[in-house]
Amino acid sequence: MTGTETQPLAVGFNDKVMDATACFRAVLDAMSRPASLQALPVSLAAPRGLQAGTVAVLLTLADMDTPVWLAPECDTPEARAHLRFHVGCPIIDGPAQAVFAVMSVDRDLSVTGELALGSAEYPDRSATVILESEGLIDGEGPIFSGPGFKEPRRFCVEEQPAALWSHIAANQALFPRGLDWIFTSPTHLAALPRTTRIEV
Amino acid sequence: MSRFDDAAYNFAYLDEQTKRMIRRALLKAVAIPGYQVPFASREMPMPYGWGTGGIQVTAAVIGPDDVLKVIDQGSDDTTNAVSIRKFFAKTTNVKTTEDTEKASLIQIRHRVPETPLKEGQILVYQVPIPEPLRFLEPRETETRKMHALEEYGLMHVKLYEDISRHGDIATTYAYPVMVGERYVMDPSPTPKFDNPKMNQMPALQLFGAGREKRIYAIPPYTEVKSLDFEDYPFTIQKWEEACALCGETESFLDEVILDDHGGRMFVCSDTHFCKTRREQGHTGVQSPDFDRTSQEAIEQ
Repeated sequence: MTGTETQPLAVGFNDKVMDATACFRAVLDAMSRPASLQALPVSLAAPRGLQAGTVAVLLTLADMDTPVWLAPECDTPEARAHLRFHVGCPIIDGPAQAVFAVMSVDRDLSVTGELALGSAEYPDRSATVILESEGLIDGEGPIFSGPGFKEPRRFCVEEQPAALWSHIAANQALFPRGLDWIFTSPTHLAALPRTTRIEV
Repeated sequence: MSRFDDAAYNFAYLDEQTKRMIRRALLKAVAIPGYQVPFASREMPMPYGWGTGGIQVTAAVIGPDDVLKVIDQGSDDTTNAVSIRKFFAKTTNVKTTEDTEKASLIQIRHRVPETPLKEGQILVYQVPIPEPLRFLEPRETETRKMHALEEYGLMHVKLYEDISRHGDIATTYAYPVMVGERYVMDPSPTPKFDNPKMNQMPALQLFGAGREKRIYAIPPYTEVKSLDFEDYPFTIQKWEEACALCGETESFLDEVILDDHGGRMFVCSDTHFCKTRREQGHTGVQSPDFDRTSQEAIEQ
């Protein structure tokens, strides 16, 4: 065995245009109705280290203009090869310049403190964090409210990480600056924009 | 295989990289309600002022299963509405409609439909000048800072000067609103009559300004408050007349000149709303089958 052996690359979107359109609408729905579960509209192969939901989000939104940072638990040679070929995004070594940061939901989230939060004049120049989970759960967990909610909704992830919600609450306090969170699983995605208030 | 097979253009005209750029801007816009996100607006095959911002937003959002409605000043059949509807029919093959309830995506210029919008619908506004403070402060660097510091005193001074000069807040369209208790936003040149509809609307509202290269948004169920004073509360336009075709008294009316002897009539500006009411049997003073005796009976 040599280090130069090539692995067969998993396929990306079957239909680049229509699949990206469908996935974008799922992300847009997730962002405008925070804490609501959206089924992935396409079935996708995911390389080791990444969830199918993450691959869908990056194929839809990332390109050569958006540096992506992969946390160590997601950073596999397969994930890098997959993103390089199908997305064409720069994969950067540190989180500071990242437009999208991908990490596992049950990791130590203090690393998000190094991500761009945007400025008071340009709060949109902030990173979007993609949090990978084994499963997203509707109707349980903390109570969320804010823009996009007719009534408060509950939402949580299978891993039940202790520090996650305090990180999200601290981020909300920075509004209008702050990070936006997209949760991904093999089958679903959900989002919490910086406007969403949380009651644990 | 795509359901759209016109080799000349990509689905919805824009290339995929442009769509990704607009989509990223849209998501940040939804995450910061009322804040204007700069975006790399493209040249479109029509001049600025014809809704190039709204068209780019629609092109980035529209999918093959969408049903598209386009209105210009409430009307489905004016030049701007017809040409934009045809543009998307040609470049996406989506179904188009005039029926507000059947549409999933509605691009609008200067009016919000009278029929209440539902959850799941998306409204795309065409915006000429996105910055509500622009006529008060021409420098972008300054208006950015004013938004950053939530320094909106100048806008209140402007409304106050309206009152001191005219006895009332004279602004009737592009009436500034506060979104989510944070950003003052230009609702586009819709009449102030439509401002209350934007508050807590179940549909998602997206705004595109092509020449000025800005995108902003109001998520569903978000507070949108028209700026006013305690002693001069915000009010909407009211008419003495009812619609001459359908008799509606609560809709936004357009004045139509009939002759050169001062003859005129008032009709609903929302053509689909008016047509639906007429189909339901409602009549107005200009309807051929208008029953004057019953109308007089009501008035007495």
